[in-house]
Formats: sequence, structure tokens, C-alpha cells
Amino acid sequence: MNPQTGPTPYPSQGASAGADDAEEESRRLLERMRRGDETALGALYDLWSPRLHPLILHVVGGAAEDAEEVLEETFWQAWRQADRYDGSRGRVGAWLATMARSRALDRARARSRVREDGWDEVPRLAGTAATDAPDPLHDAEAAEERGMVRGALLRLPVEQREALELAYYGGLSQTEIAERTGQPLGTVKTRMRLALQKLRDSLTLLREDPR
Amino acid sequence: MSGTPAHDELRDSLAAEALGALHGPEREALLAHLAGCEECARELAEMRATAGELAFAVPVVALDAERSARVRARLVARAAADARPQEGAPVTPVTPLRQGPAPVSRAARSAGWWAAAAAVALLLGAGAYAASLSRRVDALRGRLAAAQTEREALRGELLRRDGTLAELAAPGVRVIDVASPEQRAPSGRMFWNPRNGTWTFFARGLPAVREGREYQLWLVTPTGPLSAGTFRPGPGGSAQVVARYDLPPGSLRAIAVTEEPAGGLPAPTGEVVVSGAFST
Repeated sequence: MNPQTGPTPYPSQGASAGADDAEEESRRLLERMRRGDETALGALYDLWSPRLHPLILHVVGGAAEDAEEVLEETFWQAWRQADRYDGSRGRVGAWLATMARSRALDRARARSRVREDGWDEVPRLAGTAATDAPDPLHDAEAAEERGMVRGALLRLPVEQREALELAYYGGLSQTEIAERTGQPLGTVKTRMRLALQKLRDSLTLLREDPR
Repeated sequence: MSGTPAHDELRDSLAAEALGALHGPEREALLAHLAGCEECARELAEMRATAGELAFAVPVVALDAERSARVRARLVARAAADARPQEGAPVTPVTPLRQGPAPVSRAARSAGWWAAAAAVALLLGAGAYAASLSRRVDALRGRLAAAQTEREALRGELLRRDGTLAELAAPGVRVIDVASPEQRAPSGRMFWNPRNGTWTFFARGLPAVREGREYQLWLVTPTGPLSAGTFRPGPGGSAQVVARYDLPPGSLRAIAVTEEPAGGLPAPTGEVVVSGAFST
């Protein structure tokens, strides 16, 4: 971490209209949490745990108990750091997801070291038949968003998608990805850049014209 | 900085940074460059936003409702304990391993080296696990503190209720029923223990009071009414008041409740909501 560069912004999500309501509510809850209102933490949990839990579970490789603990620690971190959330740097969901992913990766790394099985179990999303359980929030909009991103991901050339997933869900460094895929570092960098650009372009198109 | 070799080279690292895959000196160099290059900073922000989309693209696996409720309850309890800081919960000190040599048999001694080697190997393996265990211990310690706080609160409430029950069941307790003039709800019942001057009053069906108003409980004596405190009814119109006042036996005439300005008055001014006469 470089102290001179200031805090890392949280990636903002593609904002849909309905997401704005959740965002507004989340910001109100964070404000109450800053004032020490623990019931607001409960409400924030109700709002976001159904969306963060799948991410955490995916990153920790399906270990339910680990996922549960990471979920709790993520919201605990949110409680302790509610005053650090800066609305100008991104949406609440993205802030929470950044914390959830980071903690889940820590947990997955610790497990992986204990088992000494290296990085052979990096969770993969695309290429598997990703089926969803019924949406716990019955949130059609969130489901549509999810389908859209997954669709855009599946449209990427397989090697680009692989680089993206190894980095984001697996927490691998670019060097580790190069070693793992047997590709030169430069190639890995290019794949990641192209993947993100294409993903962004696809999502822009899909959001403009969902059909 | 746009167009310089450094800029072009570092720009290739933006995607890796956005995905959290950049480390070491290369990351340091990029971050330093970003501080002075708006173009790269903007591009990184965009890439981070796109990478962030991946968070909610994973398959939905429903969290077991019961487990989720437990996680939620623990969080709220931890936060409640955290919001009302108390003296740190006593931390159990780690008991040091027993010092000094223990009697060792010959067979055990001959196996000693292998045991030591195995122990070292175990320790090495355990080292990595210790870090993750330490985090879990921290988490568990937080939960324990929250549970202890909750237990103390419940214990206090239980003691209070036990005290109330003991009062109601004490020998010599006099009961005075109170009712509204309309012969309908609200109503109430006063338990007076003349031996220790404890008054325990229960009411139900009380209408909600207006802002800035409260109910006031009166002990009516031959010399005039004495205030036994003010109260606001709960959501269902029920209330419980415990007061201590030594009244000589034989000097109580009645119990009454009036509505008064919040905080109460020295003498009743509002209409009587419920009342009941006391006869010895």
C-alpha cells in the first residue's frame, strides 16, 4: 500500500434505477450506524447479506461455515468502519463487496496454506452451469443485473475470462496467473485489460438495450 | 504525463490493479504515477467499476434462514455491546505449559528425537494455521463479550421481576383495585406492602397520553393526595409502577391516576382516569 496515494476508491456498480432506492436506504443506515444505532446494522444485514453471501461463498470455495464467518466479519467491519465510508467514492454495495471479497480471499488463502494444496481450487464461475437458488430477496432487478453481467462474462474469449476470474475470485496476482497459465506476464496483462474493456462495453450495450 | 514511455508502460498495469492482481514495486510505481496522471486515474476508476460488477455475478446460493438469523443476532448484540462500551470483559489469561522435566521412560527417551522432529514439523504446519485461528479467536472473543453483556442485561431484568413477584406475594400485602368511572377499560390493581412501604401498581387499557403529558399515580390520604410518581403506558396501554413511600397504616383512603403535565404536579389537576377506594 502506498500511503501517499490515499484510500482506494470502491468500484462503483452499474446503477440501475431500483438500485438507487437500496443505495439511499443503505446510506441512511450507515448514518445511523455512525451514531451507534445497532438496529441499523441489523437492517443493513437484511438488505445486503443475501447479495454478499453468494460472493463470499464463491470465493471461499463453497465452505458454508467459512462463508458464514466471513459474512459476519464483513458486517462487523462495516459497523466499525461506518464512519470511514465516503459516499463520493462509490456506492455502499460496492464498498461492502470490496470488504467481503477481501476477507473471503484472506480466508481462502489461510485454508489453502493449511491444506498445502496451493491454488488448485480457485473458484470458477463461467464455464460451469451457474444455476441460481431462488432469489432470497425476490428482487427481479438484481437477478436481471446478475444475469446481464454473467452473460457479458460468458461472451469473453475463454483465456480473457480465465485471467479475470483467477484475479477477481481467486485473488491471484498477475505473476501467479502467468505461472499458472504458462503465459508471459505481458500476455496476462493484455488479457486482463481486454477482458475489462470488453466487459464494460458489453454491459454498456446491454444496459442501453436489454433485449 | 500522457504519452511518456513511463505512462504507456504503467497504463498496461491498470487492469491488473483494478483486479487487485498488482503487487510490489510495480504497484508502488503505478500508484505514484496515478497521483499525477488524471487520465490513468480516470481509466483505473472505470476499470475498477467494471471489476466491481463481478461481485454480484456469482450464482445465488440461499443462506440458511436459521443460520442467517443467528449471524444477524450476533452482529446486533456485538454492536450493542460496542455502542455501549463497558469495562473490558475479563480475558482469560493463557495458562503457560507446565515447566520442568517430567519423568521419562527409556523407551520414551529413545523415541525422543523422532518425537521432537515430529513436533517441529507439526509446529511449522501449525504456524500458518495459527494466524487464521488467531482471527477466529478475536471473532469469538467479540461474540463472548456480546453474549456476556446480553446475559447481564437478562439477569438484571430477571432479578427485577423476582423482586416484584416477591413483593406481590409478601405477607400483609393489601390489594386495591382501581377502575375508570365509565366501568370499562382502563383498569388497574395496586399491591401495597405496608411493612416496607412498597407500592406495585399495574394498569391496563390506558389510552396513550398526548405529547408533553404523563399519567400521575396518587395515594389519597385524609390530608390530601400524595404523588407516587408519573408514568407513560406501553404500546398496549399497560403500565407497571413501583414506588416506595412509608404511609402509616390506616391513612390510605384511595388510589387514583390522573393525566398531568410531564413530570407531574404537587397536586392533581387533571380528570381521574382510574381510581379505587381502600377500606381497612
